[in-house]
Amino acid sequence: MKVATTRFGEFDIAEDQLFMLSSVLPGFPNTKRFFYIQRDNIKPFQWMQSVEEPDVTFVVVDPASFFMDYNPSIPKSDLAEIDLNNQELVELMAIVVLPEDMTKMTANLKGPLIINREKRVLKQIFLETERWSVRESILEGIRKKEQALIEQKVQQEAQK
Amino acid sequence: MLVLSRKLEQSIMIGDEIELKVIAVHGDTVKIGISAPRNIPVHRKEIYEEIEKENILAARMGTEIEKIDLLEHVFKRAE
Repeated sequence: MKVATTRFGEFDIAEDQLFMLSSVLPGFPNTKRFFYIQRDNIKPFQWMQSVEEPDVTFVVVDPASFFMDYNPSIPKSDLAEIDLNNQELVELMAIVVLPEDMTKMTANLKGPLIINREKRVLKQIFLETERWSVRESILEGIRKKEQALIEQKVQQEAQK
Repeated sequence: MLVLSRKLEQSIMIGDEIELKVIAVHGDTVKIGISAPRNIPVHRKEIYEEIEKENILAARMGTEIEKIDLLEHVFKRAE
């Protein structure tokens, strides 16, 4: 099917590339389906484009790329809604905000997207926890990850 | 809006399956117990609003293609 987008022009998208929201994405009641736009040069980021609203595009990222200790427990009711009964099979995605000052880019880890890739259904969930916020610094995540890698290397060296 | 007065330990039923019960009252804080089927999402309103606000911001800011190119540049430099 042909899908018009404001930023990328027209796409010809196969039905099996479309992901259906199982409940409304807060703030975007008119959007029911998304598809992903991937490009090598922006990995690990991707775009998530609304089918129904040409100007609704999000930058999303797999939180594991930047946040090594992000492993939220996902409520069973949310998993059931995307037709999963096991958290192992769920795919997580975080919506990114890219402000003018790019060093201040953040990922929403309090409201991650959960995805069932096989059934092509997704949902944004709300974690009832103070552990993660809607604005987690991506650069801070990278810094922590690199530091952990360095510490790991130092320990390995010390053991030799 | 329907307004009902309830005492400690008293409940309100919404339909057959949803029960709201007053568990504790301390000053201006009321603790409410909620029993609902799993397919009914229950959230504090401010979390929903916070996420809604952030979604709108995310869609408005930073999805320009030029910005993504900049992002690529930033990561190349970081490597």
